Amino acid sequence: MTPTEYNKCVDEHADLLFRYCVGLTGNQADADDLVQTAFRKLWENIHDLDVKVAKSWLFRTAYRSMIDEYRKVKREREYRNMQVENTTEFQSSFEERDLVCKALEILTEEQKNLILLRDYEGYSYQELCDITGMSMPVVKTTLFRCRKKLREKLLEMNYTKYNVE
Amino acid sequence: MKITIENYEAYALDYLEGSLGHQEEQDFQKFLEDHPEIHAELVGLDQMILTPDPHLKYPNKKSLYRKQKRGIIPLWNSPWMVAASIALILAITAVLFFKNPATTPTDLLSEYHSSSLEDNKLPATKPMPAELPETNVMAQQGNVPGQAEHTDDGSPALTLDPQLRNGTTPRTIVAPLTDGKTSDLAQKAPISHQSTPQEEDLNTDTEDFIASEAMDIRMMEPLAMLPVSIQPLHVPASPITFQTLGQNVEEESIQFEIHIPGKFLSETWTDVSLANIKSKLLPEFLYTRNNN
Repeated sequence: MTPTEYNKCVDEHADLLFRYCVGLTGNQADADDLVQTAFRKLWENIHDLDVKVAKSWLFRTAYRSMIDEYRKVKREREYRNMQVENTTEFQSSFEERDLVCKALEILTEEQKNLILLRDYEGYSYQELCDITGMSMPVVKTTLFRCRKKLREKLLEMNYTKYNVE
Repeated sequence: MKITIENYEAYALDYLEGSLGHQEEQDFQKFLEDHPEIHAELVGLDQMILTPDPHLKYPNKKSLYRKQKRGIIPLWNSPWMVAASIALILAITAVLFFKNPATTPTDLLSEYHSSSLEDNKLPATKPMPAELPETNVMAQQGNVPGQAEHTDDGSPALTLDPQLRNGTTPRTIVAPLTDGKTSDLAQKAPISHQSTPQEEDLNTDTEDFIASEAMDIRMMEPLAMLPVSIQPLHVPASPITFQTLGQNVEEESIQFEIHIPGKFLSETWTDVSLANIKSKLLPEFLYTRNNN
């Protein structure tokens, strides 16, 4: 990959990676750190990577960085989110996007990774197997359980979009 | 594969997305009829798809752009570039080396000899006599300088190059060793005539000078002090041709030939290579040994 191709990757994938990281972390500050880390590692391995695999490599690197580093401050993050939750509970209106992000919090990192890659980026099941290293039945079973948990959480929060009753 | 309560989740997603095959779809519908609680789980899950926010942009995209560093040509990336670089360096080196004629190997050798000869010049603090007395018979008889000869009584004679007496040219002294009588080069040559007292003093000074010079030459030029001959037991003594041309300012190399008597050694040592030394010398050695 050339520097020109790297800058082209920034143009094409930076926003997608940022949304994916926002879904993973639940806040933009941590998502910003993950994006910076992923593109820094991409630049460090620019001579070893092909531009065709750059996108999946970026998402996989961001997820692993989140697993490696973000878990270290997981307790702090949970405490911070709890403080934010206590303040927002008194707000009169909730936007749908905030509800979805809140519902994602009940998922594990592995489940969030799969559902975000599937729904946000449109990866096929086979591509998800390649990225995550899981088998096909495990990917499908995990995604099915993710959707069930999300639906239950959103129904619990009276989110009308997914209210099927 | 039969759809069971343990593996139905993997089929459920494909059923919701409509990607099951015809037979698998019928099997899954039959499974849902048998398990109505699972059928209730699936209601509304097809709409449970997250959608990203298209308005969410990464704010620090400019900080991600990188520029390629200039000024360094990565020659090591391609083997051809490496080969071209080496060839260029060799070409430049060759041009610089052969451009100056003083740097050719022959000139370097001549410079080495000249410097070594200058170092071997006679000491100026000890002047030579104007005329060298007749300490050497060969010198007066006009023999070839540097050639080894025998005196009348068979003892070796020390031959001094006439040019050496002037102290202007390099010395070449050949000292044959025969029968252990005169193994020391510093041994004086016999005087073949009566000398006056003045001449005795002069002779003594000259002989001392020759002895000291011979020792110096022995220390500095061990090649010139090689043994002259090895007399075979069954072959009568024959004239030994031992010629050293020595080091000369005009000459660039040392020519050194040793002629060894004997029918099988008509060739010079230089003609006898290591490859045929066994075939030439060993049979003769065995022949001589058997005859004795």
